[in-house]
Amino acid sequence: MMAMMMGGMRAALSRAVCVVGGSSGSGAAAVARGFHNSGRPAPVRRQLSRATRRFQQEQQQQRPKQQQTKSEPTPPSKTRGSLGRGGPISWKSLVAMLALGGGAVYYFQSARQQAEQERLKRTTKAAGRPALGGPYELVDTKGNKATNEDFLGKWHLLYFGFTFCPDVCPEELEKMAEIVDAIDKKKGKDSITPIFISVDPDRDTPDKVAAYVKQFHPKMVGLTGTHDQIKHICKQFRVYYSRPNPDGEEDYLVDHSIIQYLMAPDGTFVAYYGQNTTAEQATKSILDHMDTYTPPS
Amino acid sequence: MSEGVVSKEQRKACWAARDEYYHCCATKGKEACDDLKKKFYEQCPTAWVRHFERRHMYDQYRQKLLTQGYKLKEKEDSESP
Repeated sequence: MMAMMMGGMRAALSRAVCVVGGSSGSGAAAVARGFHNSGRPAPVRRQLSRATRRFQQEQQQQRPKQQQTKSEPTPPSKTRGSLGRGGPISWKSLVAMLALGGGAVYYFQSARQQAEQERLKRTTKAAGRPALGGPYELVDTKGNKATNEDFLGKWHLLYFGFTFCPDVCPEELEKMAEIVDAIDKKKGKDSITPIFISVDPDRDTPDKVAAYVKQFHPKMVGLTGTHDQIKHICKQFRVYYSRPNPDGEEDYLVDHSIIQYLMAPDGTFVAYYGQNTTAEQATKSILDHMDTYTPPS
Repeated sequence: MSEGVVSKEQRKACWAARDEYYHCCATKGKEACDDLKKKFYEQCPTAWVRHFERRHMYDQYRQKLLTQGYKLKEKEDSESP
């Protein structure tokens, strides 16, 4: 009975509030809002925009996923790192790092080799060749005429000196002999011809030159000539040489440039080697030229 | 030496005598190497000896420059009365 009375009172109260609400605001809105029997206002069913509804749906979809991952317990064995003790490094990552590092090293090595080959090609193929060389006529060790055409068809090395030279010419000619032997070993016999040309025609007769070149290499060609012939070839190869003081002295020394000239089989000048170049360096350079030489168009 | 070319053996002997003499000069001093000097002068042609001696002097001077440097003349010297 008490309960029925309470219910009746509550209903009367709600009706009264309704009336009050109705008198202040629009009556229709109050009716629409409606009041539950519990006294708590019903949730407002608003007209939500499509975008807002989509956003709300996405939120609802994400929330259950997050809850799922959080709830799953992580197996301890899978994420253990620092090689067994827990941390960032695991066996797998170490192996992967080593493999990657090895791959990077291999890649850089091969790239460096390629760059070296390119550089070699570029250095041996000179863009502009100096206009050294040209036709000449001299006298060989037998006293016969020898011209530049006698040496076509084979690579040859030219050296200008004189037989009375105290130290430089013997050293350079010994170096030339070493180079020739090394190249013949690699490329076969008679790959390159060494030639000695005297810049001292007054004293260097064909016999003297013959005796001189025999000291260094059996294949070495010796050439001499008249003053005009020597002057001509030295001009073509830009060879400096001093004329001795005509005082009648017999044991003068001739000052001259110390260079070995590499000539291709077609007679064009290819490269030169000075005193500071060792036999090995010159050999390597000549072999490279032999491999990469293209005759000028 | 104008008759023929200096043979290989002669050249090697000359160079050996030269090296021996200069080594003696470097270790014992020039005064103690007279007999080696005589041998050197005999083995090599005169023009070669002249050339080698000049070259040796230049090498020694170059060595001195590299190791000891060179001293510029002091300013006080020029200003002294």
